[in-house]
Amino acid sequence: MNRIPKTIVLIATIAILFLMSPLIGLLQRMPWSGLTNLLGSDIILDAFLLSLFVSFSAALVVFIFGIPIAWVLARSNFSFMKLLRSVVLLPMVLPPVVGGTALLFAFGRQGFLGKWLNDWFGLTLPFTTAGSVVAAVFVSFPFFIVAVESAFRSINEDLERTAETLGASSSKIFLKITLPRIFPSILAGLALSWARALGEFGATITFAGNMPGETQTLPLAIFLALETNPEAALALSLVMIVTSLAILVPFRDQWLPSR
Amino acid sequence: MTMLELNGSLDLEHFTLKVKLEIKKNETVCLLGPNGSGKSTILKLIGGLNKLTAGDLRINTKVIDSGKTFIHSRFRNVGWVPQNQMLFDHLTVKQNIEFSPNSSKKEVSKLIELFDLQHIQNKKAGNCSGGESQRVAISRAIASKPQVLLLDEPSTGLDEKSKQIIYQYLKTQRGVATLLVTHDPVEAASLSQRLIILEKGEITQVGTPDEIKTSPATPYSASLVGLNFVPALANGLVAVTDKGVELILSESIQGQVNIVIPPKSIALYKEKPVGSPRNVLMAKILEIHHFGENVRINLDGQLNFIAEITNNAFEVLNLHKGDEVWAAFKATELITTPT
Repeated sequence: MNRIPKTIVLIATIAILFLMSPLIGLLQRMPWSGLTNLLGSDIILDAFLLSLFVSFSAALVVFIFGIPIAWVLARSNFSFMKLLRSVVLLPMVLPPVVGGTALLFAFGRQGFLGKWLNDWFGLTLPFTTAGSVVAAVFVSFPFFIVAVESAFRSINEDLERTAETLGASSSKIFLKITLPRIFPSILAGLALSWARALGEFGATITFAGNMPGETQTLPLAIFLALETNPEAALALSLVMIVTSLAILVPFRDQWLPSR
Repeated sequence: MTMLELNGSLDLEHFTLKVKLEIKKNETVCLLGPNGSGKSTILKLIGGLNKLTAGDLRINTKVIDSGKTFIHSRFRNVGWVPQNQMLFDHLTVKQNIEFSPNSSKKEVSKLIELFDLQHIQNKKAGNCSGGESQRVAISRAIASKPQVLLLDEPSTGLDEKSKQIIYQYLKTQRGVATLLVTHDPVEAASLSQRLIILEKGEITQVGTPDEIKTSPATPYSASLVGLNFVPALANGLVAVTDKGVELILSESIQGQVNIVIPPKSIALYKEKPVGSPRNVLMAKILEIHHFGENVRINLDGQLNFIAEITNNAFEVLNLHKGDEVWAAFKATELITTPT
């Protein structure tokens, strides 16, 4: 390893301390003795299971629809692709509460799509678990698309062209050449978007509300508990941190190429 | 029987590529040219990675690219071995070779043996050395049972063993028309009876290695076979080059000519030779290369050219880089051809 200049080490240390300080703050105030009781409570267990359900469902939807979107964005050079790319990435920069409001106007009972869903299928999204999933999908989509789109771009197209000259069908090329090569990026994108879905708060509370057992995911439960029962909020935060680390640590290497 | 017939053009960024070539079944044709002359683009045209702007392309008499038709790469029966091989790194050597749906088990194992890949057939292609990769790439292309085989600089940077295996195969293969792009005139001459020289998108010469050696059509052709090449305007027994240098000729000729000066016909002197009925030019030594018995010296001055002298003469003259010398050559040694 190259020697790293001292100044760089100093700046990096300050940044790391900054990033760790909230975590230290949490752990320091954690009601360790009452933890088992708190964690056993129904509200926390419900919120935890709901969070897992919502975040994994969102990741599944993002996975199924994200690959084709990323493929189109990476491989088409129509002039409106630039605009389309910005639209797709919008949820990344939009305040989640704006996203939630927008979802309400689209999928709410009076929204142009929501009305139709309600009239034709009797389907209601706002203030339901499905609504939570929709909100999570909306905010986490761009994270997956960015990762997979850049992976598609990084593939030398001559590789696929060579496979074509060998007589292979486009589906064979996609499954045997393209997909295996972007697989690490798909995993990384899934982990990122799953993490975003797990932490989702603003769009969910706006669009799906905060109903225990139905739409009250971990972040919403923490927000509510902070007012009434700060110890529960701390315990919930611990649950979130542990869950996130358990999923994200194995993927750390996917984001940064290992040495 | 003509297997490949290409007569067309393609507009590129800096120039228009214009090609007319024909390759027979069982024939290997070499395409030589400087970097950026469009050699690889011709292969891509035939492989279906580029589309002709005008003209047409036929394989086995069937039109596969013209104004009306464009057959997809997949259905062209063309084996393309690109310059950087484009192996499927995540698959094994064997999986690469049997990738084509046209490949047969029998053919694949035969190729693995021919290209000496048995011991690495289960190795990931991404872990292969340069020589192994090239052998895999060529086997993979051949396993797809092509009618036309396109090889882009197949021996660049390869180990001697891999080179020999590939050459051996190319010399004995049957049933295909092979177009081989190369930089290396020795490789071209040893693998092919017909060389095509391509410069800036245009074919500047077609001929056997011998024909190119005796009458190179351009400075590039001449440099390939180690000859000096000077275009000039002749008027009787004197020809004047672009830079205004006068050369004495042995036969009277009129108009634009190409003059070839064989490097071995040039003698070097430290002092200006006097009273000699020869062409005498002053020049500065740019580079000195030792080749066995001989020394090749790059000279720059009124003309830019190469002289080849013996080691003995080199030592007697005591020459160094940067020295100024006199170069002399007889008019009878010059090969003059009208253009």
